[in-house]
Amino acid sequence: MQLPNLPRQWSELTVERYIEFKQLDPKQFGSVVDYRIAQLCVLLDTDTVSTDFDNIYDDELENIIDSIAFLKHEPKNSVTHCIDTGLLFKSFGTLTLGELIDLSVLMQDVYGNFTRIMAYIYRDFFVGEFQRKVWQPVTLIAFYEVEPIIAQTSIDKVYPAFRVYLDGIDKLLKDYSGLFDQDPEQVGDEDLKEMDAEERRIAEQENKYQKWAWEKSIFDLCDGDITKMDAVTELNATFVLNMMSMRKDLGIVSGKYHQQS
Amino acid sequence: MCNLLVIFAAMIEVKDNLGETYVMRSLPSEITVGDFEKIISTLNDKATETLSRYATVFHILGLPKSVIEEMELEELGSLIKTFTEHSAVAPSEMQHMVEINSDVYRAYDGETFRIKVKDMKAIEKCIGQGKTWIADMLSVLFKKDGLNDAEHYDKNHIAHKAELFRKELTADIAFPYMVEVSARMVQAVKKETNATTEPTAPVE
Repeated sequence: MQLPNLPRQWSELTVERYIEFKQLDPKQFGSVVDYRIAQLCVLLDTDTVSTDFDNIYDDELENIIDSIAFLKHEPKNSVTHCIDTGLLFKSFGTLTLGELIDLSVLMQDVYGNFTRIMAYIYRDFFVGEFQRKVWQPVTLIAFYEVEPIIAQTSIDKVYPAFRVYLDGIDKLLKDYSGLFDQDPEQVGDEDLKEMDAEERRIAEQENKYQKWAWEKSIFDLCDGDITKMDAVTELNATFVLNMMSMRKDLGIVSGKYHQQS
Repeated sequence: MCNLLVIFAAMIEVKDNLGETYVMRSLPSEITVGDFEKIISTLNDKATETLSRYATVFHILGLPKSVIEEMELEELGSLIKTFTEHSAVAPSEMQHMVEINSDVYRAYDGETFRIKVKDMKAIEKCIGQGKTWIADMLSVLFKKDGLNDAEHYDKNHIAHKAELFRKELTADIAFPYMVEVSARMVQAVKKETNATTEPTAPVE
C-alpha cells in the first residue's frame, strides 16, 4: 500500500497533526488495530473511521507502523531560535513570574494548550536600548493570529523549545516546592464526603490554599498592595522565587521581620 | 487471553467402583472446538472451586458424572494431578482449509498465513467481549468458498459459521490459529507500549 502523504520524519509533521496524534487515547478504541488505523488517519489527515486499511494484510500494516516508528521518540534537534514566521525563541532564563504561573497552568493540559504554550515561548520583540531585546508582553500577543501559524509549523522546529520550558518549569517547581506546595494533592469531593466535620473543614481550607497558592504568594510579595501585582509578575521568575525562599527562611511576613525561634 | 494449557499428551484411564474402565478423550483431534472453549472457560472460572472446575472438565472429556461424584477426595485429587502433569502444549500444523458437509472453508491462500486488517479488528472485538472466542475467531478467518465479501462479513453468516465450527471442528485445527493470532496481537500491543521518550538537550 503506497502512502506518499504519510510523514516519515518529524520535519514532515505539523504541530496541528502532532497534537491530534498525541491526543488519541488507546482506551477510546475497541482494539489495537483500530487505534493504529486512527493514528494513521490522523497522520494522513483523513477521516478517522476510514476503511481504506481494511483490505490490507496485517504484515503490511506492521510495515506501515514500522515506517512511523520515529514517533516513539522525541525530536532530537536543538532549539530553533527563529521560526519561519519571524517569531523568536524567548530563552527560559527570561521567564517572568507571570509567565511561569500561566505556563504551569497551561501545562496541566499540554496537548490541549500546545499552540498557546508555544505562543508564549516564540514571541515578537523589538530591540531596545543597548541592543537589549524587549519581548512582546503576554497581554499583547495576538493568540488568534499566532496560534494558527504555529499549528502549521513543523513540530521538530518548536518541540525542542517546548521541552526546554517543560523541563525548566518542572525543575523550578520542584526546586521551590516548599514555597507553596505543602500538600500537593487536592482532596477530592468523594474523599471530603467521607471525612468528619473537623477533617473536612481543614481539608477544604487546604484546598483553598492550593487553589489560591500563587495569588497568595504574589499578594504577600506586594505587602497586600494589589496595585503592585503587575510589577511583581513582570519580575524574573527565578529571582522572585529566590526572594520568596529568603522571606520564608527568615520568617518575613508582609515586609516585617519575625525572629524565628 | 485464555489459558491455553489444555492439550493432552497422554491417555488417562479411570476405573469406577465396579471395575469398569473409562477413557477420557485426550487428543486435540478428539475434542471439538465447542468443548475446548468450555474447558478453557471452566478452568478460568475463578469463582468456582478448583475441585468443581476439574470435575466439570473431566465430565466434558467423557467421564460420567456418576463416576466423578463417587470418587473419593484423594482419588479426584490424584486424577487432577495426573491430568495437570500430562497437559502439555502439543503443536500441530496450520490447516489452511477445512471441509464440512462438502463446503470448503479457507483461512488463507498461498504458503504464509496472513490476516486482513478487517479480520484482525473483528477478532479483537470477539476477544474484547470477554466470552469464549475460539470459534468466533475461526469463523472470521475461515471463509466459505463461493461467497462474496459482503456475504463473508455478514454478521449472521459469521455467527452461523461459529456455531458450525463449535460442533464440527476440533482443537487441533484451532490451536495453531490461537497461538499465531495471539502472538501477533501481543506483538502489536508490545510495539504500541514500547514508546520511549528521549529528552532533548536543553540548548538555548
